[in-house]
Amino acid sequence: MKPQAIKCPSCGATHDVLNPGVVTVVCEYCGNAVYWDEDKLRDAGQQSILPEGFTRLFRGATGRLDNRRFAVMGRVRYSFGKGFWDEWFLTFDDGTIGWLTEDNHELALQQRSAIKKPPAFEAMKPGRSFKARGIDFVFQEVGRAECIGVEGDLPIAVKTGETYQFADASSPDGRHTFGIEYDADPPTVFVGRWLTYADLTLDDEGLDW
Amino acid sequence: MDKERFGLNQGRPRPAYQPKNIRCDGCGAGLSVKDERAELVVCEYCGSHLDVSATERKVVGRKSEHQPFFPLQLGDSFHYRSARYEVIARLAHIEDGDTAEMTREYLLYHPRRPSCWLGEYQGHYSLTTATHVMPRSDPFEIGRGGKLKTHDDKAWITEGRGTYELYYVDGALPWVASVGDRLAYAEFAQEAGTGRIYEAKRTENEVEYGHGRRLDLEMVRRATRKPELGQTLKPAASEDAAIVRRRYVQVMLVAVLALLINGAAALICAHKGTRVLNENFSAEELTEGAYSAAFPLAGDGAAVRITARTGLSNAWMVLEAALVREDDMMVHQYESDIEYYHGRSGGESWTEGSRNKAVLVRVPDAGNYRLFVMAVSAQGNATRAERALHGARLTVTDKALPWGKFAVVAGISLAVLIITTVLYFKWKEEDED
Repeated sequence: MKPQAIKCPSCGATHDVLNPGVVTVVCEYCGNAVYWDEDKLRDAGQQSILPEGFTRLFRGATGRLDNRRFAVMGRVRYSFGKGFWDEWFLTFDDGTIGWLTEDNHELALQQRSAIKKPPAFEAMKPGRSFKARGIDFVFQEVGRAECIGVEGDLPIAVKTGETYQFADASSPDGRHTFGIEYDADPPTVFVGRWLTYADLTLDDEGLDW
Repeated sequence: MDKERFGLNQGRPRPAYQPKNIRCDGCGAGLSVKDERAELVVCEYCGSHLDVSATERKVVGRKSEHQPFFPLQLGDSFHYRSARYEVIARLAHIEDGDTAEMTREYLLYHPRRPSCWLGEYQGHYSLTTATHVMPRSDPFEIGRGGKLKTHDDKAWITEGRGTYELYYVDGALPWVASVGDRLAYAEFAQEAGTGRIYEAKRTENEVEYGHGRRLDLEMVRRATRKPELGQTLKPAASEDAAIVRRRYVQVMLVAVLALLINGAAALICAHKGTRVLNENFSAEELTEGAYSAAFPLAGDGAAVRITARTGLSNAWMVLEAALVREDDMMVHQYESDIEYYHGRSGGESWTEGSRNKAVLVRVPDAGNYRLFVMAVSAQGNATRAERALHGARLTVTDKALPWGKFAVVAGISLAVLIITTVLYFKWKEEDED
C-alpha cells in the first residue's frame, strides 16, 4: 500500500501519511493542522507547538509493548486546569491502533470501548463508583479538558482550543483505567490499564539527560 | 511490509532535552526550569514565588523569612534504579507550628520517569512515588497502630496522621504552593515489616496516594554520592510502626498466654485434693487451745493444705496449729501470722494484709489426725495479746497441690499485660497529641 501524500495548504510541505485511519496531520514545518473528510482537505489553522524532550515518548519513537512493535504517530495535549496530560497515538505492527495516556510520566494503554449507558456527566463526582466489564472503578477526576496542542498524525479531528467534559476513573487495585470523554452523544469511552515502566521499551530510551 | 507501512522501523531521533528558560518577574534574573509541568518557580536569586501556570506569570509570594537547613541542595543528583534524578524542589512542613517537628521533602525529577519524593524526618529517609492503589477504608480515620488494608491485598499499620503546614519551599513545583498551605496526611508501614510504606495526602480538593520504602542513611549517601551526608545530624531512634506494634502485640500475647496457663494451673491446683476437715473454732476455743474432729491423711509425703479463714478487721492474729496423729501423738507444728487492716486515706480506701492464710505441709505417715489450734489476737495497733478476740474456720485438704508459684507467675503476667497495654495505648496516643 502506498502512503497517502498530503500537501500542507499553508506552507506547501508534503507529508506522507502511512496509516489509513489518520484524519488529521499537523505540519511539522509550519505547525498548521490539516483535516480531510471524504477526500476533501480542510485547513484547521495554526496549532500550538508542543515542547519536546520532556517525556519518555516522542513523535516518531518506536518500541515494543505487549510483544508488539509500535510507532508513536502523534500527540494531543489536554489541559484540565491544574495541569495537563498527553494522549499519544500509536500504531502497532498488527495493524491496530492505541492511545497511551501520559500523566506525570505515568502511562496507561487505552482502547476505545463500547459501554452501554455510561454515567451522565451531571451525575459525576470524584469518589463515585462504577462497574464496567466486571471491574469496579472509582472516579478520581471530573472536569473540563481543553486541547492545548497537537502534533503529528491523528485518527481524530481535533484542534487547539476545543473543549469537552471528561471523567477519569481507576480501579481500586490501581491496575485498570476508565475514561469518559463527553465529546459526542453517546460519549466516547476508553478502557485500559496502567503500565509499569518495564511494560514498555523504546528503541531509543535516552537514559541520559 | 507492515512494518514499513506503519513506519515502525523509521524511528525519529529523540528530541534533545532542553530546560525551559524564563525570566523572574521579581528581579529579572534568567531562570532555568527543568520540569515543563512546573507551576510554581521560586527565584533562586530574589526568592520571589512565581506562578507560571498561566501564560501570564505573576508573583504570588516573596522570599521566605526563615530558610531551614536542608542536607541536600537544589540540583543535587539522586541515583535510583539506574537513572539519575535531580532535586528540583525542596519543601519543609511543620506540625502545630513546631519547627522542631519538621519534615523535609525533596522533589526528584527525571524527564522520562515518574517523579519521586525523598522525605526526611529526624534523620530518617523515605522514597515514595504516586500510586493508584486505593485504601479499603478511610486512611485519615485510623490512629497510630491501627490497621489499614489496600485494594492490592496488602496490610498496613498506621505510623501517624495529622496536618502538615508548608513552612518553606524553593525550586520548581508542579502546583502553585503557598507557605501556610495545610494538608492532612496519614502514613503507614507494611504490617509484614518489610520497610515498605504507603501514604495518603488530602488537600481541599483531592486525595493522593503514594507508596515507597524506607531508606537508611547509607543508601541515601550512595544515591546522592554524598558520603558526608548526615554526619552532623544524629538520626533519632528508628521507629517502624509495624515493628513497634508487632512487639507490643507479641508481649501482650505472651503475657495473656502466661496469665491463662498459670492462672488455670493455679485454679486447678487450688481445687485439687480432698477436703478432710472444715471446722469453726470460737475465740474462746482458740484462746484455750482446741482439737478438731479426727480426719484421715494419706501421708507418704503428700502435701496437706491447712487454711485459716478469719473475720479480722483492723486486727491481727497469731495462730499456732499442730497436726497430731491419734495413734502415737506425733505432732507436726506450724505457726502463722494473720493480719488485716483497712481504712480510707486521702479520699481513697486501702487494705493491708489478708483475713485468710494457708500453709502447705508434707506429712510422712498415713493415719488419723486431729488439728490442734491455739491463737491470740488483738484489735488496732496493740502490740501484745493474751487471748483470742476472734474466731476462725480451719480447713484441711489432703493430697493438695502447690499453686502459689503458678499464682505468682500469673500475677506477674497480669502486671506485664497491664503495663504493656498502658504503654501501647500511650504510644498510640502520642501521635494524636
